Amino acid sequence: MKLRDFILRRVLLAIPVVFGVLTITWFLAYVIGNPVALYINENTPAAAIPAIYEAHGFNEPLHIQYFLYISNLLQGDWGISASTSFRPVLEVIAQKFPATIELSIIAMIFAILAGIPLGIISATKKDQMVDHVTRLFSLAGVSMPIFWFALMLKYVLFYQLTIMGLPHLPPGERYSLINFRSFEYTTGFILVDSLLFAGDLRLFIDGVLHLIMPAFCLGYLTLAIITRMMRSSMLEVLKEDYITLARSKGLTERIVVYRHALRNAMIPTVTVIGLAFGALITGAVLTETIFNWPGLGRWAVRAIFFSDLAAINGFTLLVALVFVSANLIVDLVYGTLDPRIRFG
Amino acid sequence: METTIDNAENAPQDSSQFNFLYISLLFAAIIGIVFGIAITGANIGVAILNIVDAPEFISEWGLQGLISLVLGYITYRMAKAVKNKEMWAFSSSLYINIIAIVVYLTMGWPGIALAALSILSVMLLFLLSGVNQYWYPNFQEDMKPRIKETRYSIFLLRKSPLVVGGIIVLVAFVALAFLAPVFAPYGPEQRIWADSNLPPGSASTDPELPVHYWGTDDSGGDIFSRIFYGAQIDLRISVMVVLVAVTVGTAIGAVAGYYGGKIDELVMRVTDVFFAFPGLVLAMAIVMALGERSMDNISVALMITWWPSYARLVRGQVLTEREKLYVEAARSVGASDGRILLFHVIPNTIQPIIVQATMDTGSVLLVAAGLAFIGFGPPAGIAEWGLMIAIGQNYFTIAPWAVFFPGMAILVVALSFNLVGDGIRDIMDPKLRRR
Repeated sequence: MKLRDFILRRVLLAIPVVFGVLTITWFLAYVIGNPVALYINENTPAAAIPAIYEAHGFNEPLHIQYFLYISNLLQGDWGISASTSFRPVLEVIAQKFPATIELSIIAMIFAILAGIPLGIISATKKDQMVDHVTRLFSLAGVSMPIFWFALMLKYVLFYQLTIMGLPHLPPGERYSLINFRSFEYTTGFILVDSLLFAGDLRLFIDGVLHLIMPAFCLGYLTLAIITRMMRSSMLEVLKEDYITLARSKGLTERIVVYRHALRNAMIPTVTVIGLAFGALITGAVLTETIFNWPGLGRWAVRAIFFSDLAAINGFTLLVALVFVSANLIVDLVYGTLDPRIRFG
Repeated sequence: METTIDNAENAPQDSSQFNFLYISLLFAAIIGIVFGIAITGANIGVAILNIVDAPEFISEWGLQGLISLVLGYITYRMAKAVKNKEMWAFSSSLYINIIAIVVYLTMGWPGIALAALSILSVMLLFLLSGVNQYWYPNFQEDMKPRIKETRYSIFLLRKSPLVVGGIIVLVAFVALAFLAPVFAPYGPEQRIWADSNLPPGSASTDPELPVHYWGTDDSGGDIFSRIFYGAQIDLRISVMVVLVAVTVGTAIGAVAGYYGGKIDELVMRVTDVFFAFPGLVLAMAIVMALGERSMDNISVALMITWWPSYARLVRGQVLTEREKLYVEAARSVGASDGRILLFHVIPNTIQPIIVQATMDTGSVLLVAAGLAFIGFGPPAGIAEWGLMIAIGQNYFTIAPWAVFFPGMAILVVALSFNLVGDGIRDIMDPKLRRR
């Protein structure tokens, strides 16, 4: 009951935020360029141009167009993406969203699985060699230009290995288009589709190989953030009295760290993980551009270059929704980690 | 700080020297204010009337004009304080002059003239024996704990080699960026077409030209020279963006936190909206909306996307600070809200802001280079790190060095900013400081 109220209140609070994002993007997108340009090519007769303005409502006053957009949105019509062969925005998103989400989830799993242990080791071995190396490694992650890192990885793991005739990682795309010509997406997640629907283990392995480089690139920044947060919160917790008590009881260091300290140190880390998930989708813009990944990020960049209003709005709206729900999930996870927090 | 009464015995009989200092400070204040009004007014005029052939320096000095206006006003207040022999005027005029000199030096020759004026008024503080006698012993007494703390900070700093390394790299990069015209063998946009895609360390095809230390790109530009010319653009942008974002964010966040209520609610909802935005995409959209793809528009876009994080940070700090006793004390002696915020609350919240700002300078560099890389930056040919990578990418397999070196430059500079930020946190955080 209480939990339901909490979720309801949070959702209500999120509405103005999403609405604000929507409004700002709409007006920005409106200024970017003339949307009619996308509907016209050299074969369009000059007489037809006013009809195009008429048909899409482009010659209405600004505020009418805005209300038209909002009312369409509320009816589930996100508009038509003119730069993606005039398909409905929702349809394009449904097709491209799984690619981005799959990449982000794999990157996040990698970041969590590597980041938390690294943070713990770094904190328990403070000021030792392991700690210094880990800190430098995570600082490098925060300061790494992701596009450059991706290019360098591609150069070494794809190009150099290919030249030397060694097995190498694929340079881009989600699976080898040549080897699996007959494959069609069902859910859009390659790892799921290949096993459950196509039943092809070779395709699954191929998909995994294609994921390694982009996921590592994308996850490195998050990994760095998680490691740093984990280290500092672990250090904070290890100074607490109950840790001294646990040690004085004669518990082994292992139990003290993993059973007593870890759970308390996780709370700030979870916040960071939630916030980083929103950042991951943004980071995907650069990664997808370089790895030729058919996801939302690359689509959004194209949309901005072509001043495709509906697509820009759709993308930002979606990311805002993902961000808001990620924050909600973080708050819920809080409750299970820290029983003192009440949803009230 | 205002210890006029204690120093009665130090007070010189002859106050003509004070009047001299007062008049020279007043002179500096008037020049600063007139200059600031002129530049700001000209800028607004250019913006409104849209004069096509406005001289370049007017639009370039917009920020400096505003700062000069503020500095002029502060100098005027200080001049009055000097006349009344208030203690704080002396140490403040030292700080303000240092800031003024730094700002003026970014403006070319008229700036150097203004800076000389500022230096002159600092020198007056030391040279006028009456002022010096009155001021110096008190100043020394005043600064004693601060000097001790600074000594301890330097001691802590020297213990961590990574931070020292970061500082050295940053100073070196800034110096090399400024000195690029002196030592760089080639110009930023100079192309030797016969030399395209030469590996690092190879001699130019023209025997009279110097060696290409780090190779050349596809159109024969010397990468070594271009990187240090590019540092001018990239460092300037990241520092400018962070400075503006910190100023705007601090002002808005402090007001929101201090007054609370409806203002606070409004500011927090606005920052919520900014946080829910995909930052990079918002910046791209702003650059496009501003009309022209250029480094200047990238920096405007980043300023707009970056201030909310500081507003949040400062608001949280101010919320805890405003309940403290010293704020109450200041209010009870009749200090105005503006004074309490500016001179009491904000100085006490400055430490996390400095740490955040230092680290963000690295992040802004990354994002700005990323935007230039995707194609929202200046047109090809300009020496900018992100753009150099974007162009080198097309010839990646035959000339990997055209991608490697600019990226390394970004990584090294951003890493140094992060190292320094980390170090400042460790040094300034009172929880970590004494153990």
